[in-house]
Amino acid sequence: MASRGALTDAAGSGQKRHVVCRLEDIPPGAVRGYRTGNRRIAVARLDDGSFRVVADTCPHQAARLSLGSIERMWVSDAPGTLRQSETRNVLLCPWHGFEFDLETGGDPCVPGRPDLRLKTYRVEVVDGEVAVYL
Amino acid sequence: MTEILRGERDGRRQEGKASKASVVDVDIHEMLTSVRDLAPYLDEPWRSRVDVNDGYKGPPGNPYSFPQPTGVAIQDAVTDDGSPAGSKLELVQEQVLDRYGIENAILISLFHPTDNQIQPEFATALASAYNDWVLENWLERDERLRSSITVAAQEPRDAAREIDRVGSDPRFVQVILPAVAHHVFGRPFYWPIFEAAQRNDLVVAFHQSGGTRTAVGLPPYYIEWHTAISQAWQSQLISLIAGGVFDEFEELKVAMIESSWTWVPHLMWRFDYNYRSLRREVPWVKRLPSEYIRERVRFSTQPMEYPEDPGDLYRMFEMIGSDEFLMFATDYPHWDFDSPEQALPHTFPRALKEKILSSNARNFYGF
Repeated sequence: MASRGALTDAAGSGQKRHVVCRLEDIPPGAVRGYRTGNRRIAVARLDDGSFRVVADTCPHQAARLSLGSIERMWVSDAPGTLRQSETRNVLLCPWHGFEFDLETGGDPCVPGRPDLRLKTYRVEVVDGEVAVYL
Repeated sequence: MTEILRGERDGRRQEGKASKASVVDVDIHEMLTSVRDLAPYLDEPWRSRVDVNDGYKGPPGNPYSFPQPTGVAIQDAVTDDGSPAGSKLELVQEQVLDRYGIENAILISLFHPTDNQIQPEFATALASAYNDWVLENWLERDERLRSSITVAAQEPRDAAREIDRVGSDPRFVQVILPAVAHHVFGRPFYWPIFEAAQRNDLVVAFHQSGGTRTAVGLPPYYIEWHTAISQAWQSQLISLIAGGVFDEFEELKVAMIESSWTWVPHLMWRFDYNYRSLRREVPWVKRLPSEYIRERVRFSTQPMEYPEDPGDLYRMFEMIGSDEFLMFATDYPHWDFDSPEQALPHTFPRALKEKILSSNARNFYGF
């Protein structure tokens, strides 16, 4: 959906502030897509209630990442054991399941590949509104 | 120009045809004349199982009849007394080691008690006897030779004890496992073998055996089986990575012998691509599969594939992204033997040929 926020200059950054939704529009554990101008962003709300924002286009085959899902990343301490990370959250592409770290935008499988990294955006919640700096 | 060939035997330097390059051969097959050769190296009750006329004949072999004139062997390796090609050290010396000035060669046993699958204590005893037989009849008789430790992998803890028993001898440079189709060795059940190999600073190598099958088992003709069997090595390699063997044993090195190698780019690309989608299933695999392969796995040249344009072969090599992954092998005495003077096409740069013929193996095995 399109962003509904007004634009505000962010101090000294050259970025503009876009209010994209209200807090209650995205429940914890969900991700939604928004369009601001000609940019598409995926706004993810982690299970702790905080937000992360990344580009909404998968660098692989241009799928809409906001149609995918988020989760605490599956990790392992030894072969044959699985647990979910306490700190890392990933966005899964709805098509091929490629993972993207919601802190860095990088694919944890190929962290050294900048061409496979999503752009990340600063996000804040003020007075119940979710604002993204683009 | 005639020069002194590298290598000494019995205190005499071997003179002959000029040696153009230093050569290490990572695949020569030493053969028993019969399993009764092992009798002196077995204790009872196992000795009697082999040392009788109608006793045990050995692990199951390749089930195909060979269509070549002299069976599985090249014709000039056939012995005059009916014993198997590869069973006489003198002939191996004459036809391979001396002829090509091979500095070191690794013996790859085709005697795989792992293929027995049954009578595990007997299989373990056979493996131990075979290692003692190799030591006395091959390694003690030619200092150019190195060898592989034979094990009965169906009893991994006993296999590990055998690795510990002989693994301190620097002439044993690796543990040999058959590229079987009925199990994958990446399962934790087999980890005592990898743990012991790492503990003794030994490579773990895979080679075909009587238990090697294609993805569809045993197709009607030998040519079908021989064309398709690299699938067995592929499955074992995939298993080692997906099972976390390289993560669990961080110093472990693996050699794929006689698997061919031009399939490696395909496997790396497909495995890496799948890893990005399916990592969640095996999160203990910490890196891209291709990274383990480039850093920890080596392949033998033989059997080489020969595309119509030899430049294609070099391009395949370049696609793998490492000039260290390939090691020369003759596969003597078998019908698909490769000569060190002819195996690598002219499209391979000279310095690269030197690495493939010698230093890649030396660096990998550390001799």
